[in-house]
Amino acid sequence: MKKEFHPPRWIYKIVERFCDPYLWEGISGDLQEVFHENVETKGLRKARWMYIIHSIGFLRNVFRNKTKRITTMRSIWLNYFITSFRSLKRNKSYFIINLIGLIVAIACSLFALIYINDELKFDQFHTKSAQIHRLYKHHLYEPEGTNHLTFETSGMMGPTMVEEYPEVESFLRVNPRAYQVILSYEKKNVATEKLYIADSTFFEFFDFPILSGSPSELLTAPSSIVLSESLAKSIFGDEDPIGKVVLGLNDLNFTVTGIFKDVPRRSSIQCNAVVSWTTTVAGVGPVSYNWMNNWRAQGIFTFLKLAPDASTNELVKKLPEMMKRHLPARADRYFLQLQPFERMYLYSDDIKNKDGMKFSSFTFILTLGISAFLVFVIASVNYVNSSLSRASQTQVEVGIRKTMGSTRSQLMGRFVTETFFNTTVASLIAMLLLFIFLSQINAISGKELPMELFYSPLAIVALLSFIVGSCVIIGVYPAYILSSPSISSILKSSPGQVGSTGWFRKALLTLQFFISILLLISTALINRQTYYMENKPLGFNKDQVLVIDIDNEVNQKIDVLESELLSHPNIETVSSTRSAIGGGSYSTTVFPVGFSGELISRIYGVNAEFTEAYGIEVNMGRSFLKNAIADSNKLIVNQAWVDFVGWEDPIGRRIRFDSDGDSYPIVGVVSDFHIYSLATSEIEPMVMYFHTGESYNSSVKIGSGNLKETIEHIEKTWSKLSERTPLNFYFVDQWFEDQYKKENQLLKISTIYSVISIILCGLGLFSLTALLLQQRTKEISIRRVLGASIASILSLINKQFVVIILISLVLATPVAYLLLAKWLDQFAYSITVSLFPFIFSGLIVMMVSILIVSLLSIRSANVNPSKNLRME
Amino acid sequence: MKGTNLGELEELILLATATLYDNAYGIAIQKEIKAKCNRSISISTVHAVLARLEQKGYMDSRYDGMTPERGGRRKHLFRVTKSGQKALLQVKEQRDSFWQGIPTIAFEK
Repeated sequence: MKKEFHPPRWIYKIVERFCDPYLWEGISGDLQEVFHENVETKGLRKARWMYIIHSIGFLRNVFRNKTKRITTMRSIWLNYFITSFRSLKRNKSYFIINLIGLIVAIACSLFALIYINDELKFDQFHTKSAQIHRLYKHHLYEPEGTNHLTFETSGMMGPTMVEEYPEVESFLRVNPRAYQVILSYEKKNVATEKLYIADSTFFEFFDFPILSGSPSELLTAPSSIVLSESLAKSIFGDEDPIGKVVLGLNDLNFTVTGIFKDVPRRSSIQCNAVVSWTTTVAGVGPVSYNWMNNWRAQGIFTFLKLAPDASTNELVKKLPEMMKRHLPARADRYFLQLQPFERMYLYSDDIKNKDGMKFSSFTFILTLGISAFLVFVIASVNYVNSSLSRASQTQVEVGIRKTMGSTRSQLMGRFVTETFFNTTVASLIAMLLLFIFLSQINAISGKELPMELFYSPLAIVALLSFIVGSCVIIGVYPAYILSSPSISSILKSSPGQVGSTGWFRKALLTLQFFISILLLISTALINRQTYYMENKPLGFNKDQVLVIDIDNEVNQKIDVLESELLSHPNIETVSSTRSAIGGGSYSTTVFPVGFSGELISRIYGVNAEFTEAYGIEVNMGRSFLKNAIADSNKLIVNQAWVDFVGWEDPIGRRIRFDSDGDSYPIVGVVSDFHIYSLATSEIEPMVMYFHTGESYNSSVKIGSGNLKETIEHIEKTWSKLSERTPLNFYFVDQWFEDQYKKENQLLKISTIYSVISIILCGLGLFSLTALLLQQRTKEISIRRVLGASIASILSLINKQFVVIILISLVLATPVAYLLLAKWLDQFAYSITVSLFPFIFSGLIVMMVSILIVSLLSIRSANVNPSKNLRME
Repeated sequence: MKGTNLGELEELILLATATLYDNAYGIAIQKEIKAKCNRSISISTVHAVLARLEQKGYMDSRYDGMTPERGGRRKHLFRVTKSGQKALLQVKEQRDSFWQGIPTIAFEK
């Protein structure tokens, strides 16, 4: 007998569940008979299909099982919904506390999710990105014995690697000009930033669509410029820009060879115009930027395209050998590395010299994600705790429902429904809040998240999964506990404790305080570090000094500028020279005469007014003399330089710039001063020379008079001297503050999250204490009757919370210490971790908690005891 | 009169049930109608009509006669009740009275 043919089981089950059991035997028998017949006449496959189709035919109202709970279930669910709603109305404060917690948690998490997702999507549109690598250097830095990573490479590395290693297919060198450039066409001057000088491979490496111009010839000819769509529009209006000539960089003429579509927001490469590299090559282009095209100078960025199957590890291993052949002097100091382009945006925290491109930090988004998660945990704990704390209220309802025949799973459904209702309302409000406050949030986070990301499919799916997820995570356990009371519990006059949830609640509370304290300690330490960097003495007076960028045109009339500026009573000193704080220096190897080695020094080109403008102290010897042409071959060094070389009497000693070149005498030693961010750079040995050539910057020291009026004077003077370029300047103190943007951003985020966590913790504690007091009403009243003071009752209630906070503090301290010690490690100058932030954070949490608990306790201790004791 | 009106499908199924007498279950009825009228009615529709007729009291049913083809399940066998018979007769009488009243000339050309 062949019994092996079976109809599809699943549809059988579905129809069986649906149908009236009385009719079912006949129906299933008939279905089976038809199936059996079909197997023989039409084959198994067809028969199974027919079976499904026939079965679906039975899903109609006549066959529905009306005796089963389906109809009654609908009214039961409706009733659950109504009772949920009523119980929420009855416990408004409980409902609102829970809701606020959920709203904040969902808003934070949703924001973090969208933010992180956006960061991860950066640079994904380049089709060849898997092959592209960025060259960077591990630079062993002699004087301090330290080392750092830098993106700075020399212009010969790329071409040489293509020539010598077959796996390197092509190279792309980029020199991003971070400062402003003026492009002029006919009478129109347009200022633009982010102008790159790049090889012709630029548009081959990166997928920025070309709108006009022939892609293969965009950047080949010297003096070619490719403009972004919007820049071209602002220069040329509706004219066709191709072939037109613009006056730009260094007052040279550039021919527009192409237009590219504006760079998308999610790109780390951000440029408005690209100038051909050939422009800078001696003998080919109109200018000769030797430093961009030799081995020694390090200052440009190199990208490489490798063959698809190339091994980067193998290639990196060959590079020291290349360095030995081409730049033997630095072969033991420069170690070339490759970074996959896809990792560049997020994983370049440790690498210096990132000008002209957009970067983010994986540490930052990780912090953001973890903080959001922690806030979510706190809110979830609040929710679970306060749900459990309602057990005494709900157990009568549960008892009655059980008496009426509800099953436990139905009752769990009743409580999960309530959670579902809460989370849905909270999600909608959270979404609304994000919409309303998006611009403020963007201002804080320093990233422009467009509105549409918040109603993208991702956001919707995330929101739905938050709702469903939180129902499961924070709804099911309390529902399980709340639905546990037995029928007999309603018969008892005094309802007992539901479930042994005491220790569980305490553990959750400890977790909450642990998180709050952790976030607080972190915030306190980040705050101290930022404050430290912003306020540490820099070795010069950074206040009231502004630096003006000098262009070619004004450079011709620099004396006029200086004297015009000095004619104003509120301008004390003007130093027009090569270097200024924040710009105009380079580093090279020098050879002190009579010193056994060499050292890398920062080279500063200054004039006589420089030390005066910045208030830099001269420790030994003298500063440069005004208008003393004889000083043009004298040098000044800083204290770090002297300390490194170890000379007792540096004045009059000599330094060579080439191992066999001329030597120059030292006339003075100045105290150390910071020229870079304290976060990244330590004081370097420095050699200052008397700069006589063209000026790059003017450092202007302003007095304590009217600042606004002084700046107006500077602007007026400038506009008299320069036709093309608008005045471009920065304040030195502002410049330093800008260096700490990343830290300030982190500080803002961590402050917000720790404040939120404290508030949520407080809310949770509030509802928990309220419950505790309710359970101990009688106890407190009896104690009062027997003569207990309010203070003793406060200590009775507070005691257990204090213990929990102390435990949390003890747990959080080592975790915070380890995390933050690691974070502080990356700074060139960092604070030493003291005990203060830890004690401070513990105290704050302690105070907030004692305040909440005490206020509630006083209220309940002050109630007339007879009122509470009369109930029986 | 109201309430005893039979639908066409109901009438067919009542007739088929009566014809099959002791073996009137879903598939047999479906096949009978296929054979007599050449009409394909889906098995679920047959069952739906049977259930409705039983609710109206024109049929009663019992379970009997399991076969291996049915996976050991019994057949749901139907029989026309007295009121079912009455309803059928009523329909027939109504039709007959119409037929008798139709003048022969009505169907010519």
